[in-house]
Amino acid sequence: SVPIYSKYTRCTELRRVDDNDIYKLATILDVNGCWRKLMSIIPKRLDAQACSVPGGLNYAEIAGKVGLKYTTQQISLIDGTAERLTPGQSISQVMIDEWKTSGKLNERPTVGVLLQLLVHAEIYSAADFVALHFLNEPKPDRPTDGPAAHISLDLCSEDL
Amino acid sequence: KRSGREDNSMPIRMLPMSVRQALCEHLDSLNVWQQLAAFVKLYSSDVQHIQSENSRGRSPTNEFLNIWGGQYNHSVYSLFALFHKMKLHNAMRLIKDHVDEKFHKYIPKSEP
Repeated sequence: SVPIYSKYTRCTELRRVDDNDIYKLATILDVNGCWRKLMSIIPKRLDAQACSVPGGLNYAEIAGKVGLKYTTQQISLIDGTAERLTPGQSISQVMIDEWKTSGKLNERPTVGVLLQLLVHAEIYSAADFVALHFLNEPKPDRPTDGPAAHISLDLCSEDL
Repeated sequence: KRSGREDNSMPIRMLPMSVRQALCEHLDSLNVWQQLAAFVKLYSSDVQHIQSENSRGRSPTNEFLNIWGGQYNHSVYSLFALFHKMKLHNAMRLIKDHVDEKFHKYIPKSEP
């Protein structure tokens, strides 16, 4: 019963994603300042297409080698736009608008890069949304420990 | 892995406002948000955020639900299981209509 249709691929650049879809993603990232968590881990100068495939973004290696794209100051600049937002505009949208048009041709962020960064930052609200609604893929696996881990009811003897 | 397999409940953020409010009032009165945060191993930055919202007069339980339910996208079933593990039986009762009936047996019959 799973539809075959997916709206985007992992290689689709974020600037090619419909404004309405970016807006839905942005409202998710507005919760608890998640956009800030995402922005603060974006690596500098990444080969976006090579990193788009599942597992293609080895975060520790990339961030360790080339460092981070945005400084605390640049993140504060986005924060500062909060008061100037018009109704219906979201601060995460400002952040994504900055990110999606940044960098050279091969550095432009893609849906695949976005998804892997969201998982790395444990922003599962947005990661689940991107996997299901952008890519028609199953939700990403959760770690077995920490705040993102699933909690389930223990099976009692009568269940067995 | 069996966890989540039987879970077709809604995300925590979709809980009706009235249920969420009752839950926040109940858990705020018990003052258990720190135990909840510790049990799910929230990072200290998130715990500090809840603390600062609390000191500004906001419901710490609501902030906990914003983070654990919002960012981590957990379901009402997971919240029910969390309450079960922490023996918060009245909290389980408050959300029982939003988990499958087959899980209601985990709520003790008698009042605590």
